[in-house]
Amino acid sequence: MRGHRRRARWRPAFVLLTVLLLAGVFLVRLTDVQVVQAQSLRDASKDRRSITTTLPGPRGDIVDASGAVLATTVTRYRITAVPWIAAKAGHVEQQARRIAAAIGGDAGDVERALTADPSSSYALIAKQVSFSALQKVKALDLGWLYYQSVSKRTYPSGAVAGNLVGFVGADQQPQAGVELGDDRCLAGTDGRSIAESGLDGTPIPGSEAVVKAAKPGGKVALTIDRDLQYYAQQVLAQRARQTGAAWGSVVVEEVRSGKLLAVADWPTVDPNHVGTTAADDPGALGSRSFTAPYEPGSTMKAITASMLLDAGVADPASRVVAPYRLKTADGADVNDSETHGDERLTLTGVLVQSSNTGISQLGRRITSADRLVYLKRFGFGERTAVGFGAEAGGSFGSGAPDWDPQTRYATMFGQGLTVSAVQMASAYQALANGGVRLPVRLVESCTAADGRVTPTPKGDGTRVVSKDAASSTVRMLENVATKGWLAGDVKIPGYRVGIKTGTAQEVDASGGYGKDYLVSMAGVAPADSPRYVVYVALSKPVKMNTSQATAPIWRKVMARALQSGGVVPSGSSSPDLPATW
Amino acid sequence: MSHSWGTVLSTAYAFDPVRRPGPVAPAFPVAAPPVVSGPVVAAPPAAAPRTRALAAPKVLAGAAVMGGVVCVVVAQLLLSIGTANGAYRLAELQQRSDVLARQQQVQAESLQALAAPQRLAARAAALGMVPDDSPAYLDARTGKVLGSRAATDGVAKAPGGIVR
Repeated sequence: MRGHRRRARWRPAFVLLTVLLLAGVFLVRLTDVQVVQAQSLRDASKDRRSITTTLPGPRGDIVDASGAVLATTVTRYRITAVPWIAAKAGHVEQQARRIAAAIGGDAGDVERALTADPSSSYALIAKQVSFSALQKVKALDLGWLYYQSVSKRTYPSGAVAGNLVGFVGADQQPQAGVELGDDRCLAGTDGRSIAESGLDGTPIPGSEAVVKAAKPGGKVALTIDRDLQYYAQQVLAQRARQTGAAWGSVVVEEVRSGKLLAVADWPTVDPNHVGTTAADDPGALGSRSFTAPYEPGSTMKAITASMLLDAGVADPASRVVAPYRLKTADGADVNDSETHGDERLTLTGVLVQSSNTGISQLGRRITSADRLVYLKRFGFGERTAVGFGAEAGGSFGSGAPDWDPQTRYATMFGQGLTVSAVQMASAYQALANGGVRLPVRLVESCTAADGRVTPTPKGDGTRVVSKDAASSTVRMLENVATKGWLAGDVKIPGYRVGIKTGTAQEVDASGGYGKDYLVSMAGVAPADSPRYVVYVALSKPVKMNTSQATAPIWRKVMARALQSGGVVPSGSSSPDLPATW
Repeated sequence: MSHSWGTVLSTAYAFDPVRRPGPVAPAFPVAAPPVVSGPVVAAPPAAAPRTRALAAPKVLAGAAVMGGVVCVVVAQLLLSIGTANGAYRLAELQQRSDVLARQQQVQAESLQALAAPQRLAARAAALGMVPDDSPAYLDARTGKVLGSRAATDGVAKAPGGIVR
């Protein structure tokens, strides 16, 4: 009885102790679960219960002046397989053939991917297949195939403006051109949303949460007219092949806005197939019109002439006796391209005949230092406002403006200094625009995904020469077009045009002038109220090494520009300035 | 017991002003049974249905609460079924919209390819068209022709199939 009573007395204490112990155990476990392991458990559960969806923020388009798409982002599909399940299912060879037929690939490749490691859980079947191919593959109903959508950059116009638009690498990262230069506008950022999922993967309503909002890229609008660009590329390619040139470029600039309407390069890259160009001619991956400066030759004479007019030291009728060969007192030796007797030329005549000796005698009326100031105002020696990838500014030669005597004269007619095609077009734009050079423009604006438009700053024009000097120079250029040896080649019925040719000796591997020439033509139209500048350059044309090689390109592209710009023929005729005396 | 009834009754009377003069008119305590008068005699038979009426609100209230609870539960069930169905429908429509968006993209892609200038030029050439390098304009006011027509570079060659 007493023992029983003692037990009875201890019982509540025993129960209490047990309860406390149990509570203790629970507390420890609770702390462990809720605090110690909380994060890892949460992470583990998230993967099991939730689905993360990538919200695509695609890269923006690049469009031309009229909105025609030059570069866009499309969805492609990546197909992967689980080889061990495929092996278990059997008939791998037959299935590989069916898959290859659906995606338009090689059956052998698909089979190799599937059988390379039959125990593997991953094999890449195709990187980027189209939606229609994907539908076909899905119709095969193979449970061991998996699909994933991927973004792909494509260029619907192919090589048209490929030199300007640039391209992206295999990782879809920009590599060249506007793609690289305006990446800040174009790039999009993918977002992420997380939702809890039901057993079959359907998101549980109300559980979706956007972890990071997607930010689609902006749209870059160029000043380029796609049709004119195509035409210029086409005409250039045709003529460059015909004359056996190493490379060529055509620049069309709108006089009143400084906008580039076309910048054609040959050879040019097709951004959809960069590999072939990279192997053949890496120099063509960008745009030589921006990146490859050269000695321009006689197109520079018109620039020099405008300086003389602006400085008031000459006028279009200024007289000079131009010999074939000129040896100056300071030791320079200048000669013309063809042998001739002494010619009595006006400044106009110097341009018409493209006389080196003539321009040298007139050109020395202003100092080298002054001439360098003018050259800089014309935009030579520094990158244009476009700031194109790998753009070159050209150079004025060593020691400028304290050139050695030979270079001092040579720079007057475009030797001894280097310029890019776009720079030369811009200089002629200044002449055509009453002496005011406008910043060259290639990118018109950036339109963000929310519709906000950021136009590229227009920049201020630079007064290069006086209005009179500029318009007098254009009138002289008209006389070159009507009286020069290419008058028949550059005529555009109904319009007044002004041109200047250039035939420059190119520096060869030894560093001296070799037998190679760079032929070019710069011109404006309609000369009575200039709207367009067209500049053409062909390097090393072997079958025709005079500027006649460039004439048909210049005429066709200018005619097309006038036509597409709706420029009405004026019906007036070019002034007749005396070329000789 | 009767007192409590009386209390209850008096409350009931408060809602029944027509009968009010009956029991209230005699200035007796409600509990005084010996007084026999018309209205008081009439009272007991009236009390029986009132007892049932008293029981009814309790049951009614209970039923109403229960019914309400059931309604709420059913409504919530229906709602959640509705949203769940909606989720499936939403997912289905989303999928459909994705498919349509893809199809739209495919069409846009092929349109862009067809609209590419080189493609257009090739098709125009196939139709025998050539680019015109020297356009002429007719001034509608004066009837004057501006510019002059010059022969184009190539002679148009229409493939046989075009002219039927």
